[in-house]
Amino acid sequence: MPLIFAAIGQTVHISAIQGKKEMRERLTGFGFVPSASVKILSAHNGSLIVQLKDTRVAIDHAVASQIIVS
Amino acid sequence: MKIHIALAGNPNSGKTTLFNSLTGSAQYVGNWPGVTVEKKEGMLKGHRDVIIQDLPGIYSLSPYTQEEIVARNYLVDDRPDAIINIVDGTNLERNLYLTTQLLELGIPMLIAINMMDLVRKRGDVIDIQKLSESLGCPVFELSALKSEGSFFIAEKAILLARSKAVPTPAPLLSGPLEESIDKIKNIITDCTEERLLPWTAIKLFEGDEVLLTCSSFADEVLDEAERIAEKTEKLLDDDAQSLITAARYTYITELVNHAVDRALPLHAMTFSDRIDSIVTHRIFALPIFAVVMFLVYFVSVTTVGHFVTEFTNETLFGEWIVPSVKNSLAAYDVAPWLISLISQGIIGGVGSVLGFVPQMFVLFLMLSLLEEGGYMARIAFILDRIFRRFGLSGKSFIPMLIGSGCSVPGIMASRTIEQESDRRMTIMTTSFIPCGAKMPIIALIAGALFGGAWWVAPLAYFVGVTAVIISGIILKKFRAFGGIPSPFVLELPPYHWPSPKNIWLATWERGFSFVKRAGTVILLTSIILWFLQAFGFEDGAIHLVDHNADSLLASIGRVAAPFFAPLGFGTWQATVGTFSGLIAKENVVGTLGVLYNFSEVTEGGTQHWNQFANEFSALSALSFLIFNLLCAPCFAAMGTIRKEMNSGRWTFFALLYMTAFAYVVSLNIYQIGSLIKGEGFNVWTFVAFFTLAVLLYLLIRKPPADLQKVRKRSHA
Repeated sequence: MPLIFAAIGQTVHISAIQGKKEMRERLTGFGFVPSASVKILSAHNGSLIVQLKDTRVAIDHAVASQIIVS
Repeated sequence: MKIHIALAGNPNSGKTTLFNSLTGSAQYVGNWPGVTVEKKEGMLKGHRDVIIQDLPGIYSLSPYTQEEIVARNYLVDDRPDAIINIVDGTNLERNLYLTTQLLELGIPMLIAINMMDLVRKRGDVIDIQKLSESLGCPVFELSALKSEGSFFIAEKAILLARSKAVPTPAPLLSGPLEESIDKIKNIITDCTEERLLPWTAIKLFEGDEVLLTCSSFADEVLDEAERIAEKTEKLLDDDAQSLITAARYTYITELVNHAVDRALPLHAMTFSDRIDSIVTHRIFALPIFAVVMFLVYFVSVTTVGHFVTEFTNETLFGEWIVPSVKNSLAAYDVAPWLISLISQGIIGGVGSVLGFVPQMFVLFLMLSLLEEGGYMARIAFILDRIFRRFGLSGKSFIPMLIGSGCSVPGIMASRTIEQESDRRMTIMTTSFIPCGAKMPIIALIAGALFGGAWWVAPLAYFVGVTAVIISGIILKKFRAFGGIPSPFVLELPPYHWPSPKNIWLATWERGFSFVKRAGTVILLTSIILWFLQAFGFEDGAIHLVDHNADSLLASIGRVAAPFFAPLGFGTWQATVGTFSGLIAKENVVGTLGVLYNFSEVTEGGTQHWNQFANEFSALSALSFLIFNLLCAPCFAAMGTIRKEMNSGRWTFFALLYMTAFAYVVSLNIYQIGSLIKGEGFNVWTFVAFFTLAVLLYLLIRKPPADLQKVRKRSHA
């Protein structure tokens, strides 16, 4: 499922990242890579704050819907 | 031969702090990503032959954002003698991703694990030895903020640069992936320097666009590399880039698991998370933001700032400096015109600007507290949700927040925005946010005409934000600005207590530039303005005039004044003031100071702004204030717009848009305000209504059909 459907407080694992090459590459730099675990800290209107390794990253709805997690 | 040492690392990993302590310079450091957008160089303290190069913070060496391109070009093409890779010790895994790429460049490199004080405080243990063995280069501990280890690391980097020892990391790749890269290495080995082999081979495998277009490889070589990549992609069922990325992260995760002993489990709630749960709360986030910004402006203009400014204007200048200067000049029989030049021209002009410096310092202090503490990055996130509705991304707000200090770095910060149309729109709207130099105008109007009312400064700020939002909606409907707003991905740095040194540096650097300007540009314009307002044509010759209404300046001002008459401030003084604001915005106050003779102590000695206040009504003052806040910025900011737009046509359009927008807003405020006050209709009332109708039409009209489609897709 896309990351936007994960519940607040839930920890999920990334299975794939979709979208344009540029965006994927950028997300990769932040540590959004397959098998990485992501915890949803908060969500508003589809924008998320997630914890990824030791970083807090804010992403918007469009980006979050391209990150497929399980 | 000079030795060049580059500082490379993730955003917010402490590069600029290290740069400052190594070079003794005072570059501003902010607690958010993207503070350094250009590379900066400085001499290592005590070493004339060593140049330290601060690069923008980057997450990887991919060529997608401006900062990445700047950093990558420098590292690959200019080849520094050594790299100090600064790694945030509290965030090893993500930081090491860039490290694995830097190691491939074949440049002598050492790793400085920064923020060791925080790592220790958290109770984590990092095995430096293990890291160093696996990564094949020296690794040292560092606390850049506390200057622990900075110079030791610089010395090590010099030795490393002299030894020319390149890193020898443990192999990153294995299996079919390694074989493919080796094959590519084989075909390019004849035409590539040996130390560049790993980097070039991997980039060819990934199909890196920049490398493919700029390199001098023969077509056969490129085709062969592509064939190899395609074969491997098929075999491993993933695209080349993802394969390499995955390999890097696997390597890093394993390394970190071995070398780091965590005191707390991953994903534990930190102190920062707890603050975030409140300030980015679904419902409370916006009210908290509004209260914070209100307090910033309220405190700096109305309370603390006002108190200090009043003292400076009335006691320091009004009672002490001006009378004593006048008396002593008179005692030496100095010509009356010279006394007037000094007391009215110089002290009146420069002094009225200097009087507001305390307020600016308070504003800058508060802004840097917000930045340093880490709240600014959250504001970008909070506002992204709102801005997105109006076609701007939250990233556009970062330039605007920086712009609340000064528009020039604000406009430059727009470089972090990937999408061209968003970038242009941000550049055009950044200077709507009142910058520090507009603070004196706000404070003057608030003080002289609204009795220091508490709401004037926050109002000015919210007018700026509203102007940005309205412009966003209007411009987004034009094809040149259409399209989906840039995707928003922003790191939220942990909150921390601001270091007093950094706060001081930030406040001082921004504040002092105003003091400096008061002594140069403002001084010069004040003198010129004084002459122009003291002399005039009478009986065919230039004379000293009794009344500045007969002066040269008055005749010049009167030419343009009718243009501003519909806005309620068609006096020649206000016209000259507005134009002098193009030199520097605080100059508006300096000019009014000379023209209305602020330095003159009136009967009773408390109110200097009487004459000024008499020529304005509350309504025309508001209109004057808003026009000066929104119209074309100062020359320095215009120059920056030209540089960032990289197009004369776009620059012209931007300036025209701002000025026209300012004119329409002020016109409506004054004309509709006058109508409400019961002053009846005139031709300008109808013009105002007409422009208002145009504005509303532009706001609510439907965008062209093809743009609508793009929007829908982005919401799907």
